[in-house]
Amino acid sequence: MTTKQKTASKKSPVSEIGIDVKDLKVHYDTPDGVVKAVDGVSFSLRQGERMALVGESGSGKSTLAMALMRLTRAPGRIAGGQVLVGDQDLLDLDEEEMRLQRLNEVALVPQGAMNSLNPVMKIKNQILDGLYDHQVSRDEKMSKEEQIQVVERLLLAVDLAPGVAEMYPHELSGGMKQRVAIAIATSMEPRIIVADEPTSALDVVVQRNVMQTLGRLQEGLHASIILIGHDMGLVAQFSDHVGVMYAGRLVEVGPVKTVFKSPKHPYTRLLIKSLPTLSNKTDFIGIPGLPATLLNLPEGCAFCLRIGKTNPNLIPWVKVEKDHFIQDCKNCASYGN
Amino acid sequence: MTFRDIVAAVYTNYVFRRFLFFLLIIWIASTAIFLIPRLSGQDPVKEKLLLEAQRGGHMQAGLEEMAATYSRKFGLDKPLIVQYGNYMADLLRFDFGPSIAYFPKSVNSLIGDSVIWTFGLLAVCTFIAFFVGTVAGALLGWPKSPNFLQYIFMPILTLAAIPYYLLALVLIYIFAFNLDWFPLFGGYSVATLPRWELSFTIDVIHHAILPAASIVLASLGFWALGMRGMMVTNQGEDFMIAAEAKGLRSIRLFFNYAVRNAVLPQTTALALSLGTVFTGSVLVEVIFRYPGLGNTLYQAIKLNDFFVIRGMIFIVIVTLGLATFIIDVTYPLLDPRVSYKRGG
Repeated sequence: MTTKQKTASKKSPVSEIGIDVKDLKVHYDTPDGVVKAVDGVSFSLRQGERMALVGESGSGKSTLAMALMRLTRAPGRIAGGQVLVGDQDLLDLDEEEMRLQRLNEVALVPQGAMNSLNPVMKIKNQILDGLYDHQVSRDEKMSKEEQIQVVERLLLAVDLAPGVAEMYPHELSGGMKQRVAIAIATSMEPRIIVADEPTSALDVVVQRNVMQTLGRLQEGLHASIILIGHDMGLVAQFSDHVGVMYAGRLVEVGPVKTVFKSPKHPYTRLLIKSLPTLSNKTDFIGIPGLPATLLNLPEGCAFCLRIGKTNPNLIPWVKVEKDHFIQDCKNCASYGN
Repeated sequence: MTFRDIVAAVYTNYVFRRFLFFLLIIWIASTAIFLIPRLSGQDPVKEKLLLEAQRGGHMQAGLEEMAATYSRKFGLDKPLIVQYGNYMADLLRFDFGPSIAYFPKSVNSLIGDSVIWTFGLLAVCTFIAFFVGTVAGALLGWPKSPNFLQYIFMPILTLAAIPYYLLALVLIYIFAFNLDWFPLFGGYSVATLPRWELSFTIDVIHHAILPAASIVLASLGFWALGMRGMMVTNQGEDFMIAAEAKGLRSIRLFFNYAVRNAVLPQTTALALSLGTVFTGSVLVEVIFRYPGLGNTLYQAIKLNDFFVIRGMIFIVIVTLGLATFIIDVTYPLLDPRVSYKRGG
């Protein structure tokens, strides 16, 4: 698919589905049993929209992000489900087909700005090699001038000076490195951008600038973005939709405003209550108990286990209102209300 | 440009600073060689004369005068600082004096005769082992390598646990003694004289195969294990995951990302092992009676040939310093994080 065709296909109506994840499961086979790190997650996102996935450490956010790119590594494996991008199920593709989808259709803005670039390669080469490896034939090979132009255009788009092209990663600041990572991720105008805690290692001012850049590029490309993070403030500012993960399951998905204003799942409620605000200077309220261990987690409501209740029944995925879904467990629904 | 600018420019030059450092190492080390024997407080001339006298069975009356005469002859009666000056002047001319055991042969000619053998055998073996071991380690540490490689390389890795001299004895027993495929010892056949001819070259290679095999087989595992460890460590690095997410071809991931980073510590280790190339395999040379430096050093230690030992130590220091200097100068080409610029 050439760049021209792709741009044309992106001028589709806003309501077109960008990514549709159905019942995705990622399991880790350990000697002690199966760890269900992602356990039947379903959500869909329209083209051009932003969705954030939040949850405590170990809730399966990053595992989910890696699975969307099909980068799950042993002992982990994708145990089932579908990841539909356009009308293509990424999990159906063979290795080489999947490789060509990466960067071209689904791109990753990696976690940890410090270390995500090859320390011994110049920035321009790290931008260009992704493009080279997606060229269909040798005839498409870029000339020297074209290469310089492409790198310069991509760097300028993320507010970096063209001179950065000739530098090595250790000569850049954390924020600059993250900008380079964004330049790489958007270099082939992907349909989906998966951003795995893109600003976790940066200070707040740089965080804000980097997120603005990412948002601007995403809007320009009309791409969908899936932002993984645990910074609720950042999430609330940046995204249109928010998904809350607990114990490898999505417990609530909905528009950011609705979820923050009237969270329906008790876990979401506690997560939002635990946020410090400027007006409310009372003591911090944490979430009681510890996150569920994912090893041999029983069927049923995982959050009930945390607050000393049980509900072994299959929890229905219920639509509360437009775009707003929760895991509706009768036993714990009113907890913390 | 004033003179001061030139001095400043030269001083800030990375290569020049590394070279100064190289000279400094050699100076400190050779001073240590000079001082350490003198710290013992013993008079080497008197010791030697007493030893000879004991062997002869009777004490001569003029022993003290004799010792003084010899001390004067060797310049040992002069103040320490003058002795040091003479010693340094000799070193600068690469003059290590005569051999005691093979008098009047000079230390230089003894070392010169054997250096080519050791260099030919060990430098070549080190490079072969480095190259093969690094390639094997890279393939072993790469998750997408075919499985059968594990079965080929794993037995070789176990050889790393066997000391090379033991391996040498086993090889001699099997291939030289039992099968008679290779000669038992020596650098060339006893009846021939070294000359530049094809038949002699073949003879030399024929003699070198067993010692080379024992050195290469025993050190292959070291390089392979080191490389495999670095490859595995690199797999967990963020930049490897990010690179895979870029949809790069496997071949590019392997060479430009995984191997390119994993090979950096290997090259440092290569420089260090090249630095000890002249004395690294003394035992192999002794076992095979190979006419190299290791064997010469072994004989010198056995015969208390102090000047030869000192010359050898000096050569080891110079090669080690030189190897470090070369790696210092070439490393910034391999790793941009090490910069030629001052303070980098």
